[in-house]
Amino acid sequence: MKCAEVIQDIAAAILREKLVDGVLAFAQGVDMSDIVPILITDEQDARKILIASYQPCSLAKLASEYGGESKKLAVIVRPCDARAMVELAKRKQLDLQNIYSIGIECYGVAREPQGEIYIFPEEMLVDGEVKHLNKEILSPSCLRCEYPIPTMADVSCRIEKDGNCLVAANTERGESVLSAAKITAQEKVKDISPIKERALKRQEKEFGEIKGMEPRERLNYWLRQFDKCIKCYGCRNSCPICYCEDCYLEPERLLVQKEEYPPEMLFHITRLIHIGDSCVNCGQCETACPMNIPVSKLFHMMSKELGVLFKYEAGLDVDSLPPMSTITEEDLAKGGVGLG
Amino acid sequence: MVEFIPTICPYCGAGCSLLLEVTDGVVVGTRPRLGHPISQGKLCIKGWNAHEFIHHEDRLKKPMIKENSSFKEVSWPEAIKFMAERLGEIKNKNGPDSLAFLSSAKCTNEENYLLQKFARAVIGTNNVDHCARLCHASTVVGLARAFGSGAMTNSIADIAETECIFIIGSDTMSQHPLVARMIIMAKEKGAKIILADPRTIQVSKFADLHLRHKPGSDVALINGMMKYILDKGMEDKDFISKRTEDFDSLKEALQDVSLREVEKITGVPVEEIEKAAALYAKAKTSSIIYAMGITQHTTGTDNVLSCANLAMLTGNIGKPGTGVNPLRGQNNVQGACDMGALPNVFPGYQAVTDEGVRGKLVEVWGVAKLPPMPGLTVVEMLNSVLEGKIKAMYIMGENPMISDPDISHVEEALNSLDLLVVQDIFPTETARLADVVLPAASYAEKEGTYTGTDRRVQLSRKAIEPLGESKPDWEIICELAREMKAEDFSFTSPEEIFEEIRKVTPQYAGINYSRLNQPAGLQWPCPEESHQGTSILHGKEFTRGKGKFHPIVYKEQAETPDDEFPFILTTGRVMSQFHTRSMTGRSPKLDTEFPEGF
Amino acid sequence: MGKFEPRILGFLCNWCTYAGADLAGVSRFQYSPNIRVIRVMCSARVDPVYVMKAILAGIDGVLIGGCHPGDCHYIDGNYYTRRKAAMLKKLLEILGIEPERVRLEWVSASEGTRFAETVKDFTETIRTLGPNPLKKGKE
Repeated sequence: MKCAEVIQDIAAAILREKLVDGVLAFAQGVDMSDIVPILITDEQDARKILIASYQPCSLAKLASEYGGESKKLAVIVRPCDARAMVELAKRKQLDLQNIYSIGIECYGVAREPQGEIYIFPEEMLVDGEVKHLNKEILSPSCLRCEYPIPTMADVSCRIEKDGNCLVAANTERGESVLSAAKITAQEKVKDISPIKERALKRQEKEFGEIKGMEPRERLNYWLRQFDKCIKCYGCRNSCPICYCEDCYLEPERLLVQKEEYPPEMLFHITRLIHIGDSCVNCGQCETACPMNIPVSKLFHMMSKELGVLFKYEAGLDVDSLPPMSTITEEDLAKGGVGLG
Repeated sequence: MVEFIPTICPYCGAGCSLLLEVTDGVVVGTRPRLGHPISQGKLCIKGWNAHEFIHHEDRLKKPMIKENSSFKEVSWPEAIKFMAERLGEIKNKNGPDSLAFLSSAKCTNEENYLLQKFARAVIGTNNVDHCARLCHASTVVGLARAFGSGAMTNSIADIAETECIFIIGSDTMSQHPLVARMIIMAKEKGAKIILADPRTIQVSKFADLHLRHKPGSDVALINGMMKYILDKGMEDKDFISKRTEDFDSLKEALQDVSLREVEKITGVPVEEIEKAAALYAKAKTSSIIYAMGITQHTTGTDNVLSCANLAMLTGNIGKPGTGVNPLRGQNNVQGACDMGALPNVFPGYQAVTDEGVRGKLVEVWGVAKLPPMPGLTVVEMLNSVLEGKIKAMYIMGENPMISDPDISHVEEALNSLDLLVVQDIFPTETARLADVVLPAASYAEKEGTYTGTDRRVQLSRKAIEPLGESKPDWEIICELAREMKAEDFSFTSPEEIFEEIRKVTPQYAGINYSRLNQPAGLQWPCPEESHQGTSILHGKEFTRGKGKFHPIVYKEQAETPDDEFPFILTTGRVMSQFHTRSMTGRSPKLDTEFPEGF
Repeated sequence: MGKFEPRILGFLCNWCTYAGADLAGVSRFQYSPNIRVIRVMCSARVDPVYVMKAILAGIDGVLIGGCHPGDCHYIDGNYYTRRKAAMLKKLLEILGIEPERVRLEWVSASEGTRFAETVKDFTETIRTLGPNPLKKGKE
């Protein structure tokens, strides 16, 4: 696809100009039903980069693992990954000065392989053919996502249905990327309010379903969902914000009862307490859960509720620190036990 | 430099594919693989930690020969020469049948094929067996008798499409988590789950009916269900008349079954048996899933035949969402059986007693003759050792010191051998008794094919170089064979071995490495290169033509509780430990979850 | 069966609330015996995970006691506590457990009566709410 070439050119250029030591992206494994992450260090390999609408794992997580003190990395990200990287930067797990994020505008990713597919708001491009978008193929978290444009990345790329790719720089570093690749920025303002509205409506519907239940009913719903859990740690392993090497959930921490299946609800609640305030709704947890537990729905709901409570939006501003580990001037002025 | 190499999980038989994260020649992590039909981007805790044991310090790195009760490290040429001489000696002195081989359900198809070829073509004995004897041997025999093919009839993915699932003797959520995923998905689509298990297990919470029958009473339970189905006319008369034979003998035998008796034997109330039978028979599609709970009995084969009877009675064979589905334990136990690592069959389940088959193989293998009588099974081998008939054993990738019954018996037997060769990746309990220990390469260090429980042949790629001086098992066997002057063992790659496998195994004839270069692999039988693989067996007709009913009469267990021994003990599995713990015991994340048995 | 007697867990900060509780004891103020106390050095030390662990284990109510804002022995610990308590209540609400089961209270070292009143009041609140629904679930 033409659009992929633009991004491949950018990747090759920044490697050539030694702006970065490596480019982290997705590539085709053995065939189009097999998408795997790849770390490119040789500009010849830039041709392997794939930007079809799949997200098999979180590149933010890989970036925090590979981007060391001295290594500069470029990452080809969707907005969810870009926001996750902002959250990781707040926790000092990566240094945004060493990361060049090349963002791709995203309207959803497919849950299962569908060939070379690109998702647009109402349509999808499958192996070159434009078709009406069947929302069932999208990951559930994508339907709730309000951030299609990676404004928090250094570069934003917009893919159009005819395969064109419009590129714009959001930061100075983005501009240095574009000049290295000898690409002129093309500003084309896009009104994403219908997308945001749709996402918020979807959130209202999904979270409303949970909130609409009577408390006992709600509790039983969650107990029933967590009864399916086989403690594979997939949710924690794939969550970009879960970076602790000495995780609370491991049996040697003696917190969650070992040898118990399903694990007690404390397993999920601990994770909810630890990162619930910063969940960026990337949906990797639900992608990784073998038992189809609506983990992403729960964590996103928590993050939205806490967002209202603490006036915080996860993943946008690296200087806005996570609410659970910050206090503000406002806090110091209040006297009561409540936040109001 | 980081790379993600696709391999097949080395643990259970579900056959999930995963990506090994390799940095500078070291495996540092595992990632799930999107787009795989079974794992679908998910893994269980064992899959997520399948990399932990690879670089463990216990890994065997040099060949060793035992001298005066302690191991001395030697070079490969020395080890190979020593073994070739000793094996040759013992064969010449005591005859080929004084040697026995245990192949490995964890090694690739290529390696299993080579070991049984070595035993048969180079040594001249059919004494080849492996751990399937301890688990699904009843399946291989039972389903072969009933259907003509001893393997899972349907695919794992179509379990999610069924309307009713009858789980007997399988703690699916602990043993085959990604298969349990399909069960839960079916349930969420409205399927009914009937669980027959003496214990309360995680999947009981999702069962619509949990029959807690007494251990060992499976035949009685199923006979009771069949009786009720016949009494109420719920059987599939069309299917029975067109596709099966010997129904009358089953009908006659069931006439003697009374549900009141069954209640007494199994401890399950009559109403529940009736309800289970009605659920199973009336659903449009019903699937039976079973595992060790019914196969590890003296009446194991009877239990399997009963399941086959039940499925045939209600026409639940050959369609999506139906079938008799044994869940095989090891990642390549299906493959090891397919490759003929069994005492009575050659690759492709062709009988050793069949002259025509022997004639064909003699040509392909370039030997004068092949042994015509079936060899000894695992348990028989060890008994034979104590009787003095077997003098040497070659054990590849197995740990009978933990996995076989009656360990003191096993230890006595292994200690009394003239020569014991153990080829493994870790110094297991069996390896410590050996005379020669050969360091083998783990699954991440070699290329090869593995066959999962739903007959899916998949290609696993090499991620890193073998550690230390370890070698892939196929290289070791080839070197040993060549040292013993065998021709036809000059393979230079697993792909070459597979090309030979295709020639002699009809079910694998249409499979080749380039066709396997896609995540889904190919399900056998795949007779030609244009064939897409077979996801559902016995669609139009059974492998043996018509399905055969077998009237089974309930037999009491070999040992029942009495005043002196009043308890029934049964075995079970846990999620994070696997088999003899040689691998999971050395994976910290897996070991801390369940550090001890209980 | 008898009347339901709530079982309450109290995490009391060493410098203020625990001292206040001591004062209540020394002054012989009567209050409901349903509370069991764990002394922590600062209310901010109360890890929400432990509060949830207690609730999942079946405790009917959890009281967190800290110094008044501005009086924290460690300067600003109690501000963090306030955020954590708010987060806990939200969490309980989402899960379907009554958020009133967790209460944050500022009780200083000199407020012995206030401590007794708080415990009495909290016990009655819990009594009205009823036993922890998760107690039944533990079969």
